[in-house]
Amino acid sequence: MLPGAPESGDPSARPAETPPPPSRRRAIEDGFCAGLVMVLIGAGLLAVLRRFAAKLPVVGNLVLSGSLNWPEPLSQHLVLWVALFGACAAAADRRHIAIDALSYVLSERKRRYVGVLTNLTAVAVGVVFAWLSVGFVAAEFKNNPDELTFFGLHACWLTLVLPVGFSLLAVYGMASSVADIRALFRPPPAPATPPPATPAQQKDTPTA
Amino acid sequence: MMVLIPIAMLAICMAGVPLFAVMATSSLLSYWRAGITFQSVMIEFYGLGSLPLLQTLPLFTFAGCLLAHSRAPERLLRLSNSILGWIPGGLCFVTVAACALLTAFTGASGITIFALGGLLLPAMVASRYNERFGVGLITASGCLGLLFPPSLPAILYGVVSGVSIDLLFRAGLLPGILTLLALAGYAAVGAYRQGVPAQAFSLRELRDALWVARYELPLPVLVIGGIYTGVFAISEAAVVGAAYALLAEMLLNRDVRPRQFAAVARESVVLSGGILIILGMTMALTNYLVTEDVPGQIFVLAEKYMSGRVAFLLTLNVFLLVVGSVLEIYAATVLVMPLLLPIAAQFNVHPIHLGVIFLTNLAIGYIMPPVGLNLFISAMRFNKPVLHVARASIPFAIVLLIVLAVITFVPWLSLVFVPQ
Repeated sequence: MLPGAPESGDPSARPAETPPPPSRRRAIEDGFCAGLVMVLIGAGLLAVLRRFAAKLPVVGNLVLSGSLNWPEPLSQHLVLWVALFGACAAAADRRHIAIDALSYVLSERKRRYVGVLTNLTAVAVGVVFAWLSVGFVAAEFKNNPDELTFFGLHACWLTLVLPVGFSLLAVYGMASSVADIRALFRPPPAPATPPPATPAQQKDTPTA
Repeated sequence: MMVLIPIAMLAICMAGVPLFAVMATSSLLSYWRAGITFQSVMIEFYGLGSLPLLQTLPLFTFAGCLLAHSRAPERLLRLSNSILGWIPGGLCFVTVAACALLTAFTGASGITIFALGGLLLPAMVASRYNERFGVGLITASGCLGLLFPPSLPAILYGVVSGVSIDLLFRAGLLPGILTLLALAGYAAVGAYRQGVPAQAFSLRELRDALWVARYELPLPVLVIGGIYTGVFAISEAAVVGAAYALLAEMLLNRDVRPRQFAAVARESVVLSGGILIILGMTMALTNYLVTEDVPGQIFVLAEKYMSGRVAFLLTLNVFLLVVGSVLEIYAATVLVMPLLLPIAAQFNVHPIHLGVIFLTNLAIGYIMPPVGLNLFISAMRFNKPVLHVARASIPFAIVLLIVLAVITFVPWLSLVFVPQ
């Protein structure tokens, strides 16, 4: 055991901290992210199995490698899902990668103003890209209407993740901006009122 | 206009606009200036899905997040201590090895300092190490491990530069080991000078530590061993690693409860999504820069002031250390690499050697005063002033800079396992 470590023995014996229950919106987002990760792992595992199935006897080969052509393209599409929905969740958590050098030299109030502007820039980008992706999807439906991917699904349907993702990104950014603007105009919290004086304190207080 | 666009982009970048929005705006403005339809930006973004090996990014991030949320770091530390603790200055080797392994899996060294720092520093102080020495060693060790699989920054470098990630990991093996040995060796000498006594080796403690860590032990074997032996391709190692981490931490150790799982998944999706969207937005800009031959123009300018390869490599190191200390590692990779690669090629620097130099620089940048990220994370973790942490880290940073010079000017170290 490490010197200075608690004497409790196996660290795994200690119970992990339980976080407070999330809000309904957050629970839905968390569940969606969990589903995304599970599908990514599941599709990847099937792809690995398919490769190793080549070394299995004939039956395994037939079962695993014959019909399993979809995990790899599915994984590739899921990368786009992770990119867009991860960006939405990052916007909700205000955890986007940013350089943010200005915040070190600005006062709290000015920082909030800058925060609103930076959020609105991200919203503008979301809106422009949602609009561009609508054009892209329309072009896909027009040019490649018969291209099939996995499960007999038309490839153009999969591109719908772009307008949906970018629109959500704009919505999340807008929600953050609105919250920031509200915070700007909210009156500062009143100073805490002191508790009523005890009889002893009243006795010590000089009277006129 | 040619000058105004970069200045405006730099200004909004410094104001804190999310980097993906900065890159998206830059791409749109560049395409507008060149008279190319904006739909091309969208086509480039859609191409993100077809980039090879990019699906490994969310998978390795998930495995790292899951490990960081479990008690695996504690078990890993106990095991390292039972194996290496008996060597004189053994705790230094433990610190370096445990930090490197965890950073290789989590990718972001800040997590390592948070997860292991609270266990390592009390252990060092209890073993009669100078506290400042301990703070410096842990801060410096938190930046190691980026050259070993399944390091996410290395994978991202491979994706951005187009070099084989498999070869990049092979190339990082010797430089990575050299860095670990140099730092641990220097620290062990420091421990000897401080008169730190060695611990006694205990077979029973080793057996107990192995038993406690039994479910985590196959993970590095599967991922690192799988990649180096060629049993798994990197994409397969990512899947197997994520699935095994899930099995170990949720079903076998039960460190992460089903209710916590969704939060861990969200964290990994946020982290990888934040990187992927920047990468997607940068793809169009990179294409524009290459089409307009911007790297070529920079090369012509650089050639005027730099007499040759040595001068270029020196300038490159200084530049990357500054970049590494002020920029987040993923942002730095996406922003800087597309410009650097063609210039480095003109100076006959192998792209894989460049990758090793790049990752080493960015790792050291984490502890470079005055603004290296690890300095702030350590200051927060150990409740010390940043200046105290910076002073404590300087000797270790100097050791790492010497190693960096060796890695930079002895390309053999990086290219010995790379077929020519």
